[in-house]
Formats: sequence, structure tokens, C-alpha cells
Amino acid sequence: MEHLLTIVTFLPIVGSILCFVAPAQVAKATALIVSLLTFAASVPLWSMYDANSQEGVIEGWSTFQLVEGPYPWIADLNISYYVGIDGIALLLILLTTLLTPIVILSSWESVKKNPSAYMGFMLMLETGMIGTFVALDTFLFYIFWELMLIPMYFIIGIWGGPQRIYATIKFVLFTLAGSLLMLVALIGMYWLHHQATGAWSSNIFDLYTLDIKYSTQVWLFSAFALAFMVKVPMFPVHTWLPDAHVQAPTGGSVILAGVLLKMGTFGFVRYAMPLFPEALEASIPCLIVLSVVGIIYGALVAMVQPDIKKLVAYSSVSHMGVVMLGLLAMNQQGLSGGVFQMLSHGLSTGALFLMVGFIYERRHTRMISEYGGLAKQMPVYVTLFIVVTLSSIGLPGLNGFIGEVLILLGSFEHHPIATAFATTGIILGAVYMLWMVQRVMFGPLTNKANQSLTDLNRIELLSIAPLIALMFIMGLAPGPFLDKMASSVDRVLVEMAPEGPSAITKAEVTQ
Amino acid sequence: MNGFSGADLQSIGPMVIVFVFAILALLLPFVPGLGSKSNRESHLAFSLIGLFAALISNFMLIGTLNEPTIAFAGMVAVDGFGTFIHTALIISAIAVLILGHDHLGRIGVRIPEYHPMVLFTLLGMMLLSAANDLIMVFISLEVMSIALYVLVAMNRGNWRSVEGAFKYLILGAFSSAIMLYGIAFIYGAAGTTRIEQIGAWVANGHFASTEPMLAIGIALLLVGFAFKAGIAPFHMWSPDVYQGAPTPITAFMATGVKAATFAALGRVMFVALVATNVDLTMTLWVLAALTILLGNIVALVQDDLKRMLAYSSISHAGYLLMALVALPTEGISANPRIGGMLFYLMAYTIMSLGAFAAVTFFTRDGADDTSINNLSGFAKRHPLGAAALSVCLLSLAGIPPTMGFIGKFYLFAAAIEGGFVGLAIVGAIGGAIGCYYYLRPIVKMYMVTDDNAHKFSTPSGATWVLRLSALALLVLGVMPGPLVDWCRDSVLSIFNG
Repeated sequence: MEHLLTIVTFLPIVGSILCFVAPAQVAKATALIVSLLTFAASVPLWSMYDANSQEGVIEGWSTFQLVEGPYPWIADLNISYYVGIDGIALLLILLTTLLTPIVILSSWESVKKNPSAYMGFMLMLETGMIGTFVALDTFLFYIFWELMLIPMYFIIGIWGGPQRIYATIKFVLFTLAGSLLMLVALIGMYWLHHQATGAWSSNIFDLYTLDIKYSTQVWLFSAFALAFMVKVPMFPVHTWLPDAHVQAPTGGSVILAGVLLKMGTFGFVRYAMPLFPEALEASIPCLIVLSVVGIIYGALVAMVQPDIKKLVAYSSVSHMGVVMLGLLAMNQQGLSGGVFQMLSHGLSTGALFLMVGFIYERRHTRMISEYGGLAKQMPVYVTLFIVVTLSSIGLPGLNGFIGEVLILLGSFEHHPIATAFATTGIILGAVYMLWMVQRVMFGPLTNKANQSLTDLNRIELLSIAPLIALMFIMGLAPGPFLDKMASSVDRVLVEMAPEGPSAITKAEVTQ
Repeated sequence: MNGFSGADLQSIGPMVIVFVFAILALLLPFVPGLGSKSNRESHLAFSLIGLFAALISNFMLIGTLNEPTIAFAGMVAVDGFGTFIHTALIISAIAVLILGHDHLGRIGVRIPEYHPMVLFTLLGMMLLSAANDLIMVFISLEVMSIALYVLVAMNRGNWRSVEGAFKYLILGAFSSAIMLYGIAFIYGAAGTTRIEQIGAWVANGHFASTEPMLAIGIALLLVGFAFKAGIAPFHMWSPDVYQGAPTPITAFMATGVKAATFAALGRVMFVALVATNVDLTMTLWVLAALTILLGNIVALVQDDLKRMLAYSSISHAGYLLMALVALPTEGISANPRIGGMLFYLMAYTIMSLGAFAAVTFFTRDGADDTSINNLSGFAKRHPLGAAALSVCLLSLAGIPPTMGFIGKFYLFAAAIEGGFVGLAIVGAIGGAIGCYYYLRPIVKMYMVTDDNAHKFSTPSGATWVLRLSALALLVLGVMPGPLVDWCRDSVLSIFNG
């Protein structure tokens, strides 16, 4: 299993090609089988990845394992195919491979228009997402990063709601404006490496060793940060998200909230923060303020939304602000809390969008005012919905709690005031979610159209069950997850320290 | 000095083949039976045979070309740089002939002179990219342009075509005169028109006393090139001419003319002017930035696919210019990323041919009907064609994993390496703007439900050009290595001469 990572990365896109040419039913089956195979292939990564291993292939980075390459790809530019994972990427890959079959299952009936192409784009998207997590060459990373954009553009644009074209173009333009500047910064890094050492290199470990002037760092960091802020999304570049989410089909929303938003925070952890420690240190106050504004603003706006999907979309702005706060704490609790919360948010918001999709399929409306009293008609649905809601607002015993507590603990150490504000935002989160649940699920069943609603069918149950199970597992036994990422988090923290990894700390880590 | 040897002839083999076939193609209509005026297939086949022969001869030349040769008493340089451009030009001409066969029939222009004229234009382009003497540059530019005037005006019944040709003729003649004036000034300063001799003269630092003269000469020469390549602010003619010309000719102008002009401009810059005191960097920087932004911004508001591609072609000229801005005074070897210009030229040639092939689908009642709205429903009727066109458009927008992305990457790398980060940022912003309008046709094809595409049929020749372009863009986008190496070697070979 020397090339397991490559297999996991490219299996979906092979399936994608098959889907595009196959008739609808065959394409659906192919997509499901391929995505399940990918999931099955990715599960062994968990056991193969040894968080406490001291023998890394890469000097100073024992946290990176299952490394393949570097195999020369564009020799003239010294660009290579180079992949590998650390604990953080491992967990995010598993999240991706888990969510994709669920999304495909949930789209089984709901996608009527050209399902072959829909499934093809979904699988293409999966390759893009996994590739972004595994890439160790910045050029390769950029290619995968952009590869995610095209399928999502089509998924929103073809299978979305009435305003889909506006939403999808806004999504693409926001993302591209950021990522093109990131491309310039990436080439800048590549050139700086040549200036410093005389050799061209685009692999991330070589770039980590660069000692960049502060004034240059600021520019490069700004370009990277902008690209990632758009993805997270952070206030004030979040405006594409509500449009994209509301217009996207259910499957698109699940993947968007579940994985694509994590690309932003992952980018900060892997690239923007460790590459430019001094610039990071200088911009922390600014980023913290934007995160807190995002948390509170997202929560307040979510509260007044008449549309359930839009409410969940704004809640993502708020929750991802919490994740950013954790990353910016720059300590062990904050960072591991942030990564844990990325997974939690992927599960719970992904599940919320799925659940909203279920009733949308039945009633073709997402307006809160159209519902009420669903508990009488759909008891199973409502029970599960409440579990997901509680997970999202961070009830102890469920996954959301662990991440939030770690983040607040970590963040309080350095930024007590910001943390206090963030906490109010989290409380507001409980308010809007529970208020929405109350208006949709409880009270009298007045709307006649709702009186004939049927409860969840088997496919729907099957697709939501793994997510619910994981919410409990992660909430009750977070240990294994935190263990997997612990060494990676510590190693990245060393790299992020503003004085740079001194010889001593680096030696400690590599021991 | 006088006369020429067999080796000379051999070194320009591809050009000789094109020339002979052009002459014969002109006579073909008079061959009884085979070449009768209505037998358009045989005309096409004959010219294609010529082009494929030229392509093969060109590849054979690359194989035997151990070191660059200067042939015909210094008039023509045969080197890796020239043969690379020739490959792009011949591919472009093959596609243009195939597109023209279907398209001209549909718009009611059944003129057998189409094929020889394309061949003559190609000959001019090939000579232009191999010219090693400013006089040769001028002559080949005229060979190319005069044949093009005819081609643009070929659709005589259409006022747009005639208007375009007239504009092109008047402004083209004007710019040729300016260029000739520039050549005269340079000759006055340097005492020679041979490009490498000018380079040697400049390198020896002899130009102190005649510097103003040289500066004026360079400026005028640059204006002439900028006009032909459609670089802002000398681009005014191009949208009207591009829209008026029959679509295959538009494709030829967007790809071939641009490639040949940039090759000549590149040769003059790389070899002759690289070491002058006349600092062109700032001028070229401004021209590049202006061209990128203007082309992209004006393309935003176009509702006509053909006109949109015309403006987009302006912006791509700006990207190509980025490589010349980054040219270091020590010569190319200090920044071999400039080979990115060649990669981008090849990428641009392929993606433009693909996009214009799709434009040829949209004719109705014998005239172009290329409004973007006509694309709606296209994906449903022609799934493969729509996918191929999407690949071409995404490549034009510079999105991976297409060739257009690698090309942009290369050019940005050249700019940053030369220290022009600002220009790279302008390029990035231009790219982001570009995405908006390149995505519009895709939106129409896939996401709008009304069906206008049923009014249009897709001739097989153009469909194949489109499909093969998309395939090439993807393959060379994922595995650009060999082409990248070829580009670097080509651009470096210019020096060994």
C-alpha cells in the first residue's frame, strides 16, 4: 500500500469520468460505489498514520507520513508530484471521504436533471478536496485548489435554485480574486527560495525554511490570507456564502459547508500561518477582531432569517469565526480545538443542510413560517434534527462542545476580551438555533400542507445515521481524534512561533 | 554574399513548401475536372497536403538543426525559436483551412482563392518569425498583411467585412509606414539592418552619439509592432476587423498574426535591443498593464461572442508582453522563464482556435449570428462540444488543469523573477476580471434553460477542431513538461546564432 494516498486522491476522478459517459442509473450506482471504495481505502490511513512516530521521511517533520515522491513533474521548474499527510490532513480527508458517499446517497432521488453529470462533478470535487489536503508541493496544491472550483461552479449553476447563476458567479469571482493573488504570492515564494539558495523549489518544507524579510512577509501573508479568508469565510468577504448556500442543491450545500469552508482554515494552518510567522504576529489583532465580528454578526443575522437554509448559512459564518479564533490563539488548546471544531462543524452543519434538504424535498419551501408542529407528523426526523441542533450549539456530550471549550480555553489565555465577546456570540447561536427548532418543529400543526408529510425513509435515515453516530462518538470519546492531531499541532505551532524555529526547538521536535 | 547554396534552401524547406503550394493552389481552379471551381473539397485537400508536408519538413528540420543557421546572406535565421513558432503557425493554418471550408460555404463565400491566400499569409508569418534583417521583417509583414486584407474582405456582400478590411488596410498601411520610418532611423544610427549586427553594435556601446536617433527608431518600430499585435493603445482597429472578418480569418489573425508579430518583436528585442541604454522596461510595463486591463474590462460588457473574443485577444497580447518586460539587460539566459512567452503563444493559439471553431457554428441565413444568447441550450444539444468549448474558455481564463494556467504561471514567474511583482498583480487582477466574461458563455450553455441552439448546426470539421483543441489543452495542461523544455531550448537557441 505504498501509494494509498494517490489511490485515495485519484480514484474519485476516475469514477467521475465513468459517470459523465454513463446513463443516469449506472452513473448513480458508479458514483456510490466509487465513493464508498474511496472511503474504504481511506479508512486504513487512520491506522497507518502513527501520530507518535519519530521517524519521518522528511527531516524535521516526522508528523508527515505516507509520503509519496517527490516525483519530478515539470522538471524545468523543479515542480514535483509530492503528497503526504499529517494528523490534521488525515482527519479532514476522512471527513471528506465520509461526506461524499452521504451526499451521493442523499442526491439519489432529489437530483432529476442530468444525474450523470451531477455525480461526475461530485466525484471530481472529491479529488480536488482530497488533493488539496495531501499536496506537499505548493504548485500541486494550487492546481487542486482550483480544481475544486469548477465542479462546484457547475453544481450550483446547473442544479441550484432560481438565483443560481448570480450565486455561482459570485462564488467563483470571490474565490478566484483571492486565489489569483495567492498564485502571485506562491510564485513569489518560489522565487525567494531561488534567491536564498540558488535552487528552485516549490515544496512546502523548503519554503518553511526560508527566512523572509518582514516587509515582504506582510505582502505575501496578505495575499495568502485574503485567499483563505474568502474560503473560511471571514467577515467582510463572507457575502458570497449565504447566496451560494441558499441556491446550491442540498448535496452542494453539504459539501460546501462540510469541507470547502475548511479549506480556508486548513490553508491558514498549513500555509499562511507557518510560512509568515512575523507577519502573522503583527496581524493577529486585526484577524481576531474580524473573527469576533464574524461570530457576532453571523449570529445576529442568522437570528432574523426567515429561510432555514440561510439561517444555517449565516450560522456557518459565526461558527467558522470561532474556528479562526481558536487557530489565532496560537497555543495547543486553541489550535487543536480549532481543528476539532473544523471536523465538528463539517459534521453538524453538513447534517443540518441534509436535514433541511429532506423537508425541502417534501414541501419545496424553506421558509420557517411555512412550517410548525412537524413533531407530530415526523417524530424521527424531529428527534434527529434536535440532536444535530444540539451538536451544532455545543451541548456537552456531543461533538460541538469539545471544540468550543478547547477554543475558548486556548483563546482566553491571550485574548480574554475577544473571548468574552465570542462567548456571547456562541450563546446567541443557541438562541437562534433553538428558536428556529421551536418554530419549525413544535407548536400546533396549522399549515394544511404539512399534515400529509411523511417521516424519513430508509435512504434518508441511512445517509444521516453515520453523521449522528459520529457526533456522539466525537463528543463522548474525543481522545483518539485529539491524539491523532496532537503531534502535528505541536509541530505546526513551533513553525508559527514568531522568532522562528530556533535550532533548539527544532531539535526537540525531531528527536 | 551573392547567390545561395543548397543548404540555404534546405534550411527554409517548410517555407518553400508553403510557397510552392500557394502558387499551385492559385492555379488549381484552371486544372480541368479536378480543380473546377465548385470542387471545394479538392482545393481543401490540396492545400492541406501542402501544410502537412510543411509541418513534417519543419519537424525534420528540428531534428537536424544542431545549431542555428543564418541563411540567405543573413536575411533569414533558422533556429529553434523560428521552428517553434512555425509549428504553431502551421497548426493554426491547418485549423483555419478546415474551419473555412465549412464556414465560408455557409456564409455563401465560395471563392477558391481562399486557400492560396491563407497559404500566402502563412508564408508571410513564417518569414516574419524567421526574419533576421529589419528589411526582411518589413517585407514579410507586408506579404502577410496584403494577403490578410484580401481575406478580411472576402465576404464582399457583408458591409462589416468590407468595413473591417478597409479599416485594416488604411491603418495597416499607416502603421507599416511608421515602422519603415523606424527602421530607417535605426539604420541611420547603427548603419546596418541586420538584427544580430545591430545587437553587436549596441553591445559595443557605439551608440552614445546617435542615441536619440536610435531611441526614435525603436519607438517607431515598437508602434508598428504594437499595431500589428493589437497592443493598447494601438488596438483600436482590432475589434471591428475581428468582427467583420469571416470567423476563420478572425481566428487566423488572433493566433497566427499575433504569434508571428510577437516572434519578430521578440527577436528584435532579444537580439538587437537587449543591451541598449534606451530603457524600454517602463514603456513596455505600461503597455502590458494597459493592454491587459483594457482588453479585459471592455470584454466584460460584450454580448457578442466573436467581439468578446476579439477583446480577450487584446488582453492576451498584454500577457505575452509581460515576458518582454521581464527581459533582463544581460540577455535571456539570465531569465530563461521568458520561454513562457512561447508556451503561452502555443497555448493561446490552441485555445483561441478552439473557441473560434465554436463561433463558426453560429451562422444563420448566411450571416454570423454570434450573440452569446445563442449559446443557451447548447450543452443539451451538443454535450461533447459544450464540454470542449468550456475547456477552451476555462483555459483562456487560466484555470488549472489546463494549458492556459501553465502559460499564465510561467509568465507570472517570468515577471516576478524579473522583479515586476506589480505587473504580475495587474495580470492576476486582469485574470480575475477575465473569469467573469469567460464564464458567461458557460453559464449560457449549461445553466440557462431556453433553447436557442437548435437553430444552429455543427459542421464536423469545426467540431473536430474544437474537440482536438480541448484535448490538447488538457493533456498539455496536465503534462506540460516536454513542451516547457522545448520552449526553453527554443528561446535560448536564439542566442547561439
